[in-house]
Amino acid sequence: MDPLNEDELSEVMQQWTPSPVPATLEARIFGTERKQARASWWKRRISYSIRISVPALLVTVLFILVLGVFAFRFSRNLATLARRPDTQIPAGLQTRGQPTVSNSTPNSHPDALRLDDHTLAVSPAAADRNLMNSAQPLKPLVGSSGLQGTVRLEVRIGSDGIVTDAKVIRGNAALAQAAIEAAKQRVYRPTLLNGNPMAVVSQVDVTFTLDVTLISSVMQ
Amino acid sequence: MLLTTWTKHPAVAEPRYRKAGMTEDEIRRAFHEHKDAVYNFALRLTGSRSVAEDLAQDCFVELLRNPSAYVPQRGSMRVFLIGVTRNLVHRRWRQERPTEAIDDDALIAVPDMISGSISNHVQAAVQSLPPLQREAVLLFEYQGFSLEEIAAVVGTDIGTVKSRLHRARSRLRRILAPLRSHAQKPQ
Repeated sequence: MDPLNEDELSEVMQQWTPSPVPATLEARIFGTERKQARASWWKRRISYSIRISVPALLVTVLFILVLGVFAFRFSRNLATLARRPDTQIPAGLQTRGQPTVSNSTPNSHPDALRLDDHTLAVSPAAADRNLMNSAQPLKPLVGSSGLQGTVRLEVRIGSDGIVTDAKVIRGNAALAQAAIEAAKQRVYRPTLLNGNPMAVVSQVDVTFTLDVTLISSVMQ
Repeated sequence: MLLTTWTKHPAVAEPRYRKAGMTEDEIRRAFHEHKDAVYNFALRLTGSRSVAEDLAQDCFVELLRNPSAYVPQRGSMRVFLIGVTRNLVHRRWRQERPTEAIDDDALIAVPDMISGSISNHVQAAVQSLPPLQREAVLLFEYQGFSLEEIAAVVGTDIGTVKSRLHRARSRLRRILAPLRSHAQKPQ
């Protein structure tokens, strides 16, 4: 049998009629898409959260942690400072020739610190201002062996202004005894706290030279 | 504020419209305009109503998910939809027969032309064609695509399309020769 020509073929092929589209197809497409959109909405929320919110949350948490660490360390330092009663004797004085710590608490005075109910620690400069016999020439001291140098002493001044004790902090041991005797020659005005005379602890430098001995306070 | 921004973000609220593209109404209009062509192309290519319905659904759902996939400058909506359907069919073929290559000249048994309607005969004859020849014939005869459009859909050159069409039509002319008497007379 001869094959069909092109026209005959086209005519025969057009007799394969199209089928109707199923009625459910539209619902399947647009209904399914909505269901899938709803179902995946949570997935999109979570994925978006992971992309944006979680890093932001991590940064915030890190920031709070760092702040917390700093705050904790700062508060510890404050507590430590508040507990410590003994600070270094500060230097410098605001007043001259006046009894120190007359009408204020010693711990609030920049140059004094209360050690106990009857004793104050004052700066050397503050103690020096209460010195009564500084203007008088002191008994010259000559290093017996010709030694020079400075001996630093911790002196205890009684409530009457007399030096009751002197201990060597540092310096030439050969000059120590001479330095102690020189410091005990000093007489101070009594230091008053709220009108009450107080004992005072301070520091004194005794300097030996070949010709003249100078007794001076520790200068800061 | 973060929660509000999060829930109102377009990526969460309206995921389909993340990018500029067709609206749902436009896609629905495209569905009503091209549903017959898409469904019948899938049906004629696969020979199964259920498979054709699935494929047609997948085609339009894909468009709903990616409304910006269709670019009018590249071709008509009909060509775009048929191309998507064709790709979906091939994907299904590869999933069903992963080891078989989609040949354009595989031997298919010649259908029995004794019984059945003309439509069934033509259907059987077209189904007997190798897949690549079959799709070329369907696109040419039933979709009315030009050679350029067919080449764009199947992803090959015009020469290959012509070759496939020639071989397919030669085969059909022989297979459908018994139906010469049923060819409609021109008026």
